[in-house]
Amino acid sequence: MTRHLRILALLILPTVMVAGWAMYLAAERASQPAMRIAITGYDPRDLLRGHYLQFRLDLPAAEGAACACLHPDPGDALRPSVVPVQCTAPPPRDCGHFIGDPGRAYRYYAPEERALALQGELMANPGSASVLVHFHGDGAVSFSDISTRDR
Amino acid sequence: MIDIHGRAIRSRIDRWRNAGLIDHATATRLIAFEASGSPRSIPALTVIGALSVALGIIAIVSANWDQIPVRARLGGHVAVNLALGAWGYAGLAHGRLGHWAREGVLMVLSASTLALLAHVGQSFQLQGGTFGLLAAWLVLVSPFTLAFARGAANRWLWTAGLFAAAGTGLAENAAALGEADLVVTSIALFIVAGYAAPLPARVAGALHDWGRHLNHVMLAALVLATSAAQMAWRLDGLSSDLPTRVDVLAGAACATAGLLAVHAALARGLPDRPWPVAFVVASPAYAALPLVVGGAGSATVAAVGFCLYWWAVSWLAHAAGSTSLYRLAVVAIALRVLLVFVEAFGGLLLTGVGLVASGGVLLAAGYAVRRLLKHTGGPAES
Repeated sequence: MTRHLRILALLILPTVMVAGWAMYLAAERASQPAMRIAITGYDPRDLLRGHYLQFRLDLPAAEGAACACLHPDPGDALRPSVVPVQCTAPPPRDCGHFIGDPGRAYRYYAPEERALALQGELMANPGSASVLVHFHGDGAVSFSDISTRDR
Repeated sequence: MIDIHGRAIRSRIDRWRNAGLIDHATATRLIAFEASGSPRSIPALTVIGALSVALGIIAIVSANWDQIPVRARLGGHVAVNLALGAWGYAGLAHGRLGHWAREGVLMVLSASTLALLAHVGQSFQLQGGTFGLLAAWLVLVSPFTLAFARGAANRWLWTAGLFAAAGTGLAENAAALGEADLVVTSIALFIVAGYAAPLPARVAGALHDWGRHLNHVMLAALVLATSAAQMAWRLDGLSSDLPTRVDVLAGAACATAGLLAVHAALARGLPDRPWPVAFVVASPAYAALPLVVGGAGSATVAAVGFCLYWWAVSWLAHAAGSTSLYRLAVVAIALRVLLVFVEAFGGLLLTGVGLVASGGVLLAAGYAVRRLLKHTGGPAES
């Protein structure tokens, strides 16, 4: 019986753990603060590498900042104001949108044809694209709902 | 289907019979014995066919995955993995799975677990690196792979994953490790840890084969790293792209101490054959030697260092009766000698002269080795 349980655990537990992680991510996403931010192509010659789009958040003030707090800007809904903060210290209490290395290149995964279409739209209408950014609280971010239309 | 493997064996047996090494009756028995085995090409075809079907399904789903809701996509993938796990459990627990079926189920479950991790990361648009993905995969699949997989394919898939994880980990943290002069030490610790694999395997008997496998793989990595170092010093001495002197010396010292400790822990009294142990323990120090005694940028030092190292490999292989390793060492030395002559002569005409000269040296060396082996009864024709 113990041997059977051991075999079952070794073969089933890895999948159960990954499924649990996916459920945790889904539940966490619902409670995470999110903000739509404009994006720019990372490399205007070839944004598409593999089946993902490479981009940067369109936050010129964030360049060079190791970590930052983003605050909604009533004057520009897609470009929040950036306040550089220390990465080592816990984020300030009023920092609901804490992000590490905001100037880095990010990836947005999409099927091949959709990624090609996104690349075309992004190159044809620079400045029109945006993505919904989910803030995890520890500086990490993830994305959803990329759009190439003005909002 | 033409059985190429069977034909090759039959031709070899005919050669032995014609040379008078075996009689007609023995030859007939050998041919009958080989013919009684199962044809080798069928498992390979099954594996390739199954892989093709799996890749086809993955490609079809990948082309349209944004049309499928995340819950349905991930739920379907989890269900496939659970079904594979249940199939493996039913077969392993009741001994119903044959060797190929067991290895196939474990390999597909392992690959599908990696795909599931990537699938979750892609679905939630996480921005993690390749190292995190591969490290998580190794943590999840190592327990069942080490416990149940016995075939070479699963063994090498896992080994490839281990090296890919180590390589991406090194690449993703190269800047921080470089600043701390810990690049070579990290590589040294990785090799020593793998080389020490037989230590825990001695306790757990079922893991003995895995321990031996990892030990051999890390030995090969050690020899390759030492050879690469002998080549690298020649390229540009110590340029900014290569690890610093402090980094190399610290890594070499760490590897030497680690390998010595492993052999001390494995030893039960003085070894019968001390030279293989001496070769392994001295390899890291030998790799760093040009940095200590000088001549790191010299073409001669690099070539002599490389050839001496592989001469030691050939000598150990000869002593151990390992024909394939012996031949590999001879080829490595021959190629390095060829490179020396190409390096020494510049321009097309002089390169031609260099190639003719190096060919002459190699032919003479081959003749000398053949004569030597004829007298000593070596392992192979070189």
